[in-house]
Amino acid sequence: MIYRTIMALLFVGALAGCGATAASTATSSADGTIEISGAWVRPMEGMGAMDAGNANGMDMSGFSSAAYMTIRNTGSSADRLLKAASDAATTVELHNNTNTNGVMSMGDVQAVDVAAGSTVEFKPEGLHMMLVGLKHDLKAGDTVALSLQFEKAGTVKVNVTVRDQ
Amino acid sequence: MKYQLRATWLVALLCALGIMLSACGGPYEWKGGAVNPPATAPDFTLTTSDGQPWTLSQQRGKVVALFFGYTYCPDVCPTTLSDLSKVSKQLGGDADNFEVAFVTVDPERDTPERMQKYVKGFNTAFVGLTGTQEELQKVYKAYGVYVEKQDMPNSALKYTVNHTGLIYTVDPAGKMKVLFRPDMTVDDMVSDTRQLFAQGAA
Repeated sequence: MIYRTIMALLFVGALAGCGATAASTATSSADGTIEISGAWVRPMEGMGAMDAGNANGMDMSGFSSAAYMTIRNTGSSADRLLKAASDAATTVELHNNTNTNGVMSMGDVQAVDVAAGSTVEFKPEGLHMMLVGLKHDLKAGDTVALSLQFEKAGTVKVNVTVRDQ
Repeated sequence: MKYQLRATWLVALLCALGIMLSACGGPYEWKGGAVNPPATAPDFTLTTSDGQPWTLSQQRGKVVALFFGYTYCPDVCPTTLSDLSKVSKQLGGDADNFEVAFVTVDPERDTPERMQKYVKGFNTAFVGLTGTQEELQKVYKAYGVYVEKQDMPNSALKYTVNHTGLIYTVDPAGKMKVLFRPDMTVDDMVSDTRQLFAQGAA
């Protein structure tokens, strides 16, 4: 009996280990020049579900969310992120927030330059990928498929976990 | 010898005074931006997303956090609302007296239904406030909230709304003593909110 419990615990531990490894593993473009890591999507679900875990199935489709990540260009030439798409939203737009004397502005960005050897961070209150027109609720733990199109590295597909920061 | 003794007493007295002061709360240093001198929060009535009138002066006894935003805002507004929800949870028993009101800066698109879903998605106790363009403009003006529509022809959103990202906290007596910046940590917001409760009770 105790043996079984220990085995169960070990199994859970192993699973948790797998999860952690998967989360920290970067996704790379086919040519290996672009590396995506630390990606996450903000949850968007109905009626206090985010704070109390009491989802009542209220549909949040049509609302928006945002995706964040770190993009690293390990190659020797500059690249650009041209656009992003997802199966979870009607459109995905590249946006940047600016804070000018306390006034928050959000503007669209045509493309994001990723210089050779540089890192670009998409993070809250800064550069983000806005998921416009969600097709369904995004609950913590869900996975959202994102497709990022780079000028040189081509398309990079990333599976991003929904989590609260 | 006598002089030395007196100096020792003086030091002891000053220490005791210092301890007393800090025990009494002393001068608390706000983590957010202090409003000096504290100002009376301009009163207003707007409509909640479930159709009830909501008047600021009827919230006496509570700490009210007013935040201006819009539901098409995917980044700063959710970050702030999510932080305020965490603050509310950390306040424990005081959470019932912590009223978070989200005032729309985009009444055109923020229908009551949309506001209700959005705001309650973060915390069922939060209220979404809207009104006519005229009612809202008065509130923006009274609080010095800058609201500007910005066209985004290449975006599915068509436009966004630039707005002041501050959180206006109103103490239990209806005064504004401190404003929160959206980039403040949850712990700092909790600390200031507890202080507002403590001073409000005194």
